[in-house]
Amino acid sequence: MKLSTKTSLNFLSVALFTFLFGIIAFYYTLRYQVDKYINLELNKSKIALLEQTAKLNKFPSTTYGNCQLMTYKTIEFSKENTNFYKDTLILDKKVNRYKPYRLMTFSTTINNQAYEIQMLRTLEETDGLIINIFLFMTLLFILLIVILLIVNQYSSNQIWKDFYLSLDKINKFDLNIHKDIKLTTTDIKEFEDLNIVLRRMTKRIASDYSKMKEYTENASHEIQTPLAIINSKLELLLQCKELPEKQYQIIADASEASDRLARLNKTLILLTRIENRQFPEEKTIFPQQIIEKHLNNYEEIILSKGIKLSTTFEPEVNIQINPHLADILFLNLIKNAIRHNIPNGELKIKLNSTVFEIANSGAPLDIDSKLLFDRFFKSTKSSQSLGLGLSIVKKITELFNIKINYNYTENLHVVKLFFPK
Amino acid sequence: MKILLIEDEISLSSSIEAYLVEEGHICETTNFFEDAVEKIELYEYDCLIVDINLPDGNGLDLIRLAKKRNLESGIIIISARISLENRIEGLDIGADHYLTKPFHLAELNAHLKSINRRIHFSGSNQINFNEIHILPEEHRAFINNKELTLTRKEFELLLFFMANKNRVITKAGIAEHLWGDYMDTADSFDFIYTHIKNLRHKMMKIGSVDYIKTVYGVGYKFETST
Repeated sequence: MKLSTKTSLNFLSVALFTFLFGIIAFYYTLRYQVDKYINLELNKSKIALLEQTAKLNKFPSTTYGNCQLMTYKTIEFSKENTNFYKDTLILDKKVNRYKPYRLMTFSTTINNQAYEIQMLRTLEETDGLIINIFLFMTLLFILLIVILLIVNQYSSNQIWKDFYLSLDKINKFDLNIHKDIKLTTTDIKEFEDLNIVLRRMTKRIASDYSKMKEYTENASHEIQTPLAIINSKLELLLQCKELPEKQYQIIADASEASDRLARLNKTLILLTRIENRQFPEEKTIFPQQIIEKHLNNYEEIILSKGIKLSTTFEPEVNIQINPHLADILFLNLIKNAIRHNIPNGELKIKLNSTVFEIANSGAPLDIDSKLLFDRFFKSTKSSQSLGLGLSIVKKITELFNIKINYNYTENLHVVKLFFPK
Repeated sequence: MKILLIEDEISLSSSIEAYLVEEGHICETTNFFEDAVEKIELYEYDCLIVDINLPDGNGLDLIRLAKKRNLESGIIIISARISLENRIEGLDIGADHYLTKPFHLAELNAHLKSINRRIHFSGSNQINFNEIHILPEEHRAFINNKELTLTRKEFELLLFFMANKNRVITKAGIAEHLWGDYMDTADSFDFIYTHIKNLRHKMMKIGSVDYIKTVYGVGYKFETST
């Protein structure tokens, strides 16, 4: 949830809560005040009524201002001095509708006769007034909330704009492309503090990263020389006359392992160099030429494995890429498709201006295909492989915005490269 | 051949020297740039084997120096730098070959042989050994004047063996020589076996001695002294 939405929701829930309670309290206060005023009016009428009654010695006409005399009846003395109010509905015969009234019941003594008298005061206008005030207040309140919400949303958008800008910059930040992060300065202190921290952090990370890359490359190169020594010594040892067969085997195993280490090291150097973007040169190359060159080199192997090769080339297809990396890219894909092919399997290559597709027969992968382009991913069956070929392919495609995609259909492993437009 | 080896790693230079001396070359070794400069200026060598990264200088400058002296000598670079730019630069200033460390001594030896042919038999480039007669440029081989029909890889294999006679050559060494980056070593062993089987068969069919011996589990040997 966005921060502004969250604050708006918090605000809204508090506002609604306050609004509900406020409006109820407001209603009852208003009601109370109005009742008090009406009671006062009824009391005034009562005094006027009693005065007139005393003057006339009988009950006068029924209306006193807004109040009217409803009923009077004789009662026992004991009930003297009652005086209470209540709200009631009385049927208005003219419109055949119940209308609200406030009813005052009191007792008094006239000529030694106790009477219970009820007086009425219509509530029609005051009720109407209360409802109008109530509605108006509600409307005002809602309007206030809406305006506040809009203002809140707008101002938080304004405030957080710098934050989102920075976020976007961090998101797009790539250590391999950018040297340092360029954040726009802002006048909000907290965000500026954040930017300062971010700048400092990325600077440190970038410097650590470049040191690490340098270190990796140097270390890898340094490894080459001792490996060369080991290899050469083993080779010399092999030339000794009359070595027992057992010792030949030991030397051969050691030599094989050091060869493998050497290959691994060379491949890792290549990967590091690709990651370090040390292949900046880009040229227009024709993949068909490269592919045909590689296939030509594999001719005997394809023949001896009995692989059925089919190629479809759209003429004059070209892409912008580093020529050396293009060579490695297609070599690795073709090598992979031949190595993991089955005897008498198929190898299909298609090239057009947007897609390069290479498919080879083979049993389905025994490991998750999502890991296929990961370093040191290998099928359990090929322990001799380094597991770096496809990871190099992936690195190269990333460098040149080529999309890569793998799937397995009809017993064929299909790798597709989608060239950028 | 008279060879100058410039390599600062003494362990490595001693291995190379031992291998080359065994081959009958005269090999002088130096571990320092200044020393190498002096030697190049004073003497003449058939071939220079140069390491690029020397503690007191750059091997490329030695190559430039040799080229300036207009020496006929062949030049092989051995370097731990695997990048293409280094290779291109080295070859651009006149080196014949660029080997990245680690390399097989048999490979280095094969390159020396081809340099030797270029220098000493300029033009009439051919290899003769007993009944075997090879024209490397034309990719043709003969046994007792009968032509051998070989595939490209078989021919390369024969040349490689001829350069490293009486040497145990590991399967990995052969794989590296024949395929380089095209094959991962272990994958290629079956193919090496097939190629060697075919080569032996073809050679013996037209009257060659069976020179190629299997060194069990290790590799092969082109044996001339039985």
